Amino acid sequence: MDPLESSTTNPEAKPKESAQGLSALVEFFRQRLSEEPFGSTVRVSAGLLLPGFALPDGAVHVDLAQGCQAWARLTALQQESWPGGALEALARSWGEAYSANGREILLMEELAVDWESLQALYDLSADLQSELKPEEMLKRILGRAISNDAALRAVLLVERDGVLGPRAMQNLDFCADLDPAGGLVGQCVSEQRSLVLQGQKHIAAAGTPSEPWNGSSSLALVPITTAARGLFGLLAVWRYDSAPGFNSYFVRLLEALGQQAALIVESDRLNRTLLESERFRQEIFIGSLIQQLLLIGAPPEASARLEVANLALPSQTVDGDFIDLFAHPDGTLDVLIGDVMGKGIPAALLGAATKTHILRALAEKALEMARGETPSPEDIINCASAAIGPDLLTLERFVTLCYARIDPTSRRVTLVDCGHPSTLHYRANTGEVVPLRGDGLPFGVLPGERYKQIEAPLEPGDMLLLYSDGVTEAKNAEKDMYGEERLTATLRIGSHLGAAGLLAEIRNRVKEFCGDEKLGDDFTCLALKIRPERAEPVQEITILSSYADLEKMRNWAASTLHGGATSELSDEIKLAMTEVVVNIIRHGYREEPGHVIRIRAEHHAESLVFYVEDWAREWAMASIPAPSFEGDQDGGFGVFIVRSIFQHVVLSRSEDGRNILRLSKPRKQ
Amino acid sequence: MEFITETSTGVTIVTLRGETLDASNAKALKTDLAPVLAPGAKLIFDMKDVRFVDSSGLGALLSCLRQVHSSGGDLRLCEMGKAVRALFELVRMHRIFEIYNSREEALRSYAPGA
Repeated sequence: MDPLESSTTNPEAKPKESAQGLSALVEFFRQRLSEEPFGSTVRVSAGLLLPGFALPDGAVHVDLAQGCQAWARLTALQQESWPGGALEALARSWGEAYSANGREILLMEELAVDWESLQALYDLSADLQSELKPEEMLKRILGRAISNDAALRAVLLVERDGVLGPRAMQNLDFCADLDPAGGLVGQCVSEQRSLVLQGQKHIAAAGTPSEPWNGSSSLALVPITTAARGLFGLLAVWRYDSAPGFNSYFVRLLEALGQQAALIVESDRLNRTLLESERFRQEIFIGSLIQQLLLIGAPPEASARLEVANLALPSQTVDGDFIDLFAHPDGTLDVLIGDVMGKGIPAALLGAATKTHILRALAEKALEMARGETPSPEDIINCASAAIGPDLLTLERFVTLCYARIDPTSRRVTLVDCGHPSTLHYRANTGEVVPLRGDGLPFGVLPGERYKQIEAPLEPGDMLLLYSDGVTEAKNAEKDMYGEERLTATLRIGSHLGAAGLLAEIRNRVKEFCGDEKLGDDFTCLALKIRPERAEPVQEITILSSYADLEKMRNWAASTLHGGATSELSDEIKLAMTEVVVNIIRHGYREEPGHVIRIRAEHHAESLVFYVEDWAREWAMASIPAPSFEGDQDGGFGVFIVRSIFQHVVLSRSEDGRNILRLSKPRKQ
Repeated sequence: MEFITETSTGVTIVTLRGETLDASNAKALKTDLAPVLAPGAKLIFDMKDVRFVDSSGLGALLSCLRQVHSSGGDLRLCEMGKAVRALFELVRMHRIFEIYNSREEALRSYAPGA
């Protein structure tokens, strides 16, 4: 018998590669036998180990390369010269050595392929550094995938709006969008691993007719993934001819190229997003520049008779709010506030254009008039409307605005309202807020609209608040709007703060109201205050909700009047203030001790003004009925007394839960 | 508020001894005065020391007035200071109360044939 034999347990099923592996195994053992002093005393036998077959007696298991299992056995011809089990141990060590050797060869081969991939990746990385467009780079990747083999087709499919669409192709003219859930695409997507298929029938059966590789004889599908985005595409390579199928090396190369493609697609996507946000930021920047330079005029220096402040907070999206102020030599001040419908740079530019037209109208009209005369607000607005109205109509844009002239000498405000939110007029005399509203339409709504001005008297201490709808339409998380009512209350309560202080208060109140919600609209306000002729320093006292504090409070209230007051006036003030505070303790705090009442005196030349603040529940003074004067009731006189002594009594409820009672009385009666 | 009562020719004169009659002491005064408000009593409240009355103090005085009226008695006021008088006029209570400048005038008003 030939000492070197090789056999298989199932010769029919012997694959070519495994047979090569088996003969290499026998060769390996034979070499070992020739090196050692075995002579011809030992023979080697080996075979493939197929599923279901047991290892022959005395044989050892050997791992051939490429996943094939084999057995090998050493047999002593003269059995007595070998101690028991020695040959088996020798065969095992040779078998292990052979398996390790095989793995090493495989590793080297893999490294060679990887090197090829690395080279491909290196080239492509160099492309990334270059100015190549992503589409060009993706095409190069596919070129690598087909190695310029005209028989190969390749497509890179990338997820877009729920389908997989072609992003790059090689040797292919058309590829339809594919359903990521169907056919071979669906299988690759759901299994998230590469697929290699062979045989036209097999591919046609597993796939769908719409897949571009339908009818091919070999197909490799590789998923495109990134850690951040997961699977978002496929790389497919196929051929129609009968050339050998794609081996695992090729698939590994495709996988490496797929990773490269993933990198390019993702970085392209992120770049676009970045560009978008950059463009957005740029727009906001330009918009706010326009706003600062062109739209929002700086308030003139405060005059002795007039205090002016404005506040403009641009929103996330620029819109065309504008403000302008013109101080005339005679001490009158013209203010302009406006809002262009729409957002973005076009709106901002239209705002600037409107402002310019109004300024030009003012100059043109002034030139037509005698020296020292000033054109009326309605003349200016009608002139400007005639100039810009047709353009706005063409552009289908409109502009709301209010043009107001404040004359602190004649104590009068004259304004033209072109569909703008009401100007709020705080009247220091009464403590009330009156909306000043005209009936003009916005610029750009109706051709030939004639605007008329309205007038209102102003008193020292009066305030005017002009604002854009961004203020009243600021929303909180519940989508409630801040509204004119809240703004009115804030003006009433904050009137003593002065123009700048009032605007800061409005901003804080609106911010508080909106909570975390961002302003959706520009926030533009302008406040004016006619300075009181002689304001006295503010005096303040805080007492507790106890009748024991009444005496102290009364004496303080009388002391704020200073020496010039008659004893009658002093008595009246003491009585009325006592009634106010008793009312708060009794009805507001329900006689609970320890609550706070704060009283402020803000007298000036014309009137005595007290503010009484408490933190009690809301109560409506107006609902208290007139008292009986027949002596049949003990009480009910308090409110009547207060209203008899103070001409103006205004109760406001602040948003932070204070009742603020403003009491005022002219000094001269 | 402290007060002193004297009787003269069947008329009880109550001298209020505090400067202030307001929400801080009106209720207590009403309680303290209850024994004085006997049925059919002829009363004079001497207000000469009282500098300040508010609507709560006025309410206490009105309560006393109604009580003595209901039992056939009467309550008259005298020696009222300017500020207190102003309050009474403001709420028209000078038409409800009989008010005299002096204690003597008030006493005379109770004299038979007056």
